[in-house]
Amino acid sequence: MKQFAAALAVLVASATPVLAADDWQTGAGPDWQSAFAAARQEGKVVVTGMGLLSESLPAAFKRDTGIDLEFLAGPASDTAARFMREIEAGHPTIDISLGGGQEVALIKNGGMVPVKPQFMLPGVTKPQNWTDGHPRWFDTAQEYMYQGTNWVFGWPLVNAKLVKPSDVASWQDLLKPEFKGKIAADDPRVPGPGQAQAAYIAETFGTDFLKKLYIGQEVTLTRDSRQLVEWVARGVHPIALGSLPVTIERFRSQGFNELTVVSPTDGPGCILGGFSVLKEAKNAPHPAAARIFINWYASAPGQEAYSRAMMEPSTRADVKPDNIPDYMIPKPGSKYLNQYEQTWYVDERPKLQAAIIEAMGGR
Amino acid sequence: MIDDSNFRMIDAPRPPFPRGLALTRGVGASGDRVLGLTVIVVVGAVTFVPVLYVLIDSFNVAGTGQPFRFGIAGWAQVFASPKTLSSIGYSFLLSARIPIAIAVAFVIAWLLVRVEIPSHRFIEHALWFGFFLPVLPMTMGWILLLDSNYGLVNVLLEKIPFVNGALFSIYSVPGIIWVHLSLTTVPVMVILLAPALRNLDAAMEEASDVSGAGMRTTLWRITIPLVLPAILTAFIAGFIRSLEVFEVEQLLGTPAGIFVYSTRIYDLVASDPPAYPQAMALSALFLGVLLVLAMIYQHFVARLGNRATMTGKSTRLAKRRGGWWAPVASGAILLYLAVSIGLPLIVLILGSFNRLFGFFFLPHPWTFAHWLGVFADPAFAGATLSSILIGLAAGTAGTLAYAVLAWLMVRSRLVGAGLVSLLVWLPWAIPGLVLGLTLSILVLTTPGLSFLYGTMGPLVLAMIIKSMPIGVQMIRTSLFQISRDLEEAAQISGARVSTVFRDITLPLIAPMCAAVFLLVFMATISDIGTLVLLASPSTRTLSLLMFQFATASRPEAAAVIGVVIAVICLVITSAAFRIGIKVSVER
Repeated sequence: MKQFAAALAVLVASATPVLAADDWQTGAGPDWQSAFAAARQEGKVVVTGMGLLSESLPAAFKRDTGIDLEFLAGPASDTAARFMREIEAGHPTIDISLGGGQEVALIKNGGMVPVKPQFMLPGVTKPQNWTDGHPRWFDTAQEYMYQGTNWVFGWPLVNAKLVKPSDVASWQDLLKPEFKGKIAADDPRVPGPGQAQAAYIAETFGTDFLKKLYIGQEVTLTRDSRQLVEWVARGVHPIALGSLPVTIERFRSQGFNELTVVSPTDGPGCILGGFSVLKEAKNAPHPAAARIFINWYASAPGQEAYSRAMMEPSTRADVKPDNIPDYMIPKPGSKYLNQYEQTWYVDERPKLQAAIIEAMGGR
Repeated sequence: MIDDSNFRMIDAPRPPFPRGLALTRGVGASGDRVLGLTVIVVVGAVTFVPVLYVLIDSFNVAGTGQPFRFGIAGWAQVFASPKTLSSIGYSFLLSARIPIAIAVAFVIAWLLVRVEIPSHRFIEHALWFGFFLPVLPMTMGWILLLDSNYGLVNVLLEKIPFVNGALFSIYSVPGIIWVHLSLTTVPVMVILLAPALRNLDAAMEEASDVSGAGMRTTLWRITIPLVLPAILTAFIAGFIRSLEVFEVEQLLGTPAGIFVYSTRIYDLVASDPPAYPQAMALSALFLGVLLVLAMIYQHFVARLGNRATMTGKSTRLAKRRGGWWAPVASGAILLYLAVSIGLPLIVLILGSFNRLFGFFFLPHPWTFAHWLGVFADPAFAGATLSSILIGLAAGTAGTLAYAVLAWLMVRSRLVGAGLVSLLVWLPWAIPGLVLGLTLSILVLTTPGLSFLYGTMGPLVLAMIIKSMPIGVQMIRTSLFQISRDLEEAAQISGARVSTVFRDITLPLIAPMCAAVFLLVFMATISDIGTLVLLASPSTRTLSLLMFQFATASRPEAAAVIGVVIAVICLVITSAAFRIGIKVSVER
């Protein structure tokens, strides 16, 4: 019955014209009104990103702006590759890419348009609206790749009915003989959460430890993030590495409260931005609508829509959805490895990738 | 003609007319040469250019977005990488299902078409329906049935006292083979063989029976040789397809460390940075395999000579009466269908109503929410419309193109017909994923074509190209079975070539054309690999929407779309069967 009501609510919400959330535009000048008019003329913006956003983001954007949002969903590596391919061919059909940092190479080639100069709304430029005092950026120039969320990743997931969380107090505990064959992981050989997990382990504990864990403990690999959590829920593999919070919480909401995220004492994890990094294509087909989307996305309603759908804590101080699990929120004083910055991504990550692939038996 | 003493087929004497019809009346050989060249250029443009791109790119070792730089690193990596070599090995190992499928499919097709067995119409309809069912969600259904830890079949069987542990594991080579046999290989082989068996003149088999030969001898010495072209087509089509299939191997192979040719290519393309040189080299490697197979096929078809089973004399397409064993055979096939198609379909339907897909034993496990959510999603209506439009366009244009091509290859004095015969196989030389990637790059970068990017045009073209090998070969097989004297009689009477094609040939091959149309239409609705890189949000099909849900960890919504596609299959195949009966040559 609850699910029926929720589905009905989505139906109603998407049909309801713009009523609320106009305060995100408070203080906007006449430039904004002209930009808005130009955007309405274009009629739509094309955005690519994670499939979980395919319903909520277009519905929320339409609700708040009256402009259509065409969403091209797919695995992050596929959509990023397509975004880059079209830009390099000089024929982009996608205005905005929401994802990770894969497109960072486009900055050097001039394939991306700076995002920061397009921030027009006081609600976006005001420092007190941001947890860091300013919008967060992936790129070193701090103007091309706006990062909407910031969260902790890289913790093991256990089925507490089969494995006591206290038995996995540290990363070293995962090498215990009783856990051999009982661990599953998202495949670290391809871009995704599995690789982010393995990169953290390799950087923090070295590739020898990585080998002892993934190879020595006979970790079962999958590229299906849902299957990974399902294995833990069913007890097939009671420990998992690289599982996504949104999937974990989905299972927990259906009664699988034994799914427990563990925070090892010898390594709190890494910082990611998930799929929240926004990039605009050079010669985007709908530049005016893209500008409105950029400002909306960086404002409270856009961040609320993203944050709630993906269960990732926003970098905005005034956006705190109630469905964000505690284990994702960075704790003050903890030392995390920040994987969402250009220097690490360009310089360190390829070396770690190569080391991981070699440790796992080659490409 | 049958040699009575030892039941060997003898090639019928060649007719007194020159081989093939003159297409360009009054112009002579030079007209045929110009037409032949035109056909080669057009067919080559759509089939050879993507393959050529793959070949050239296999020697490009520059990074993404960089100018071309020649190197053989990609090829060296193919032969140096144990994983790649292993994937090639697994591909050939898994293709062992093809001879098994042909044997099973031939028996089923023969029983359906040549023998009066109960429920034959339902069985044939069910096989068509089964073939068109989307592979991705049906495979998810098989996982729920045969997973070694929680599969329903294993859980039930473990309750039997002497059964210890799971009997079946879906994440294995036998598991992958079984899913293919049940969902794709056997059904498509039946679809390929049934029309050929249907077009046999009963007089040939009756002559064998009357001469004292038993059913087995007649089958072995008369029936099988007469439909050998169709069997060869089915074998080669099945073998090539077995090398490039993707979804089943991705779902079932990856957790077991089983990589095949197609998933290995995806692996390389999806890596960061993408390993394009090695991926393209691996793609190009199988071009060699395909060319060898295509040449073997051409050679055998040429050797087989005239296998016409429908001639200008009266042709009787009657079935033989089945004995006591006919209902038993029918029952066995129905049981096979119930297990291979019915079981995963039921699980899929149930899964679409699960709160959590596959969890049947939760408290209150059922909900309509996923169905409501999918129907409320504006993307669903758009995807349905796109699927129908692209499917109709590809099916119609494709079938017409294949019929014309097949007719030109078989019936005309077209110069270069042999080369065209090889060219039409080329689209199967590269996996659908690589074909889609190549087409998207070609459309993006070719001056004058980039305006098509993001429209339905490239998707229609991609599906026409992808289905060309099977479409042309199926119609070609049908044409082999029709004696030339029917068309030559019309031409002698003064009919133009186009009139002959329209009034004589087309009605005779109409059932096969209808089958080809259905194949292309449903392939468009079900395809993922070829279209995923070409589709935009406004041209996304139902299968791509399903894939989007599956990769976004929403298998319930993916199951809903899977059921919707299954319903579309049911409606389309039912309508097609009704139409097929009306235009059947049997009438």
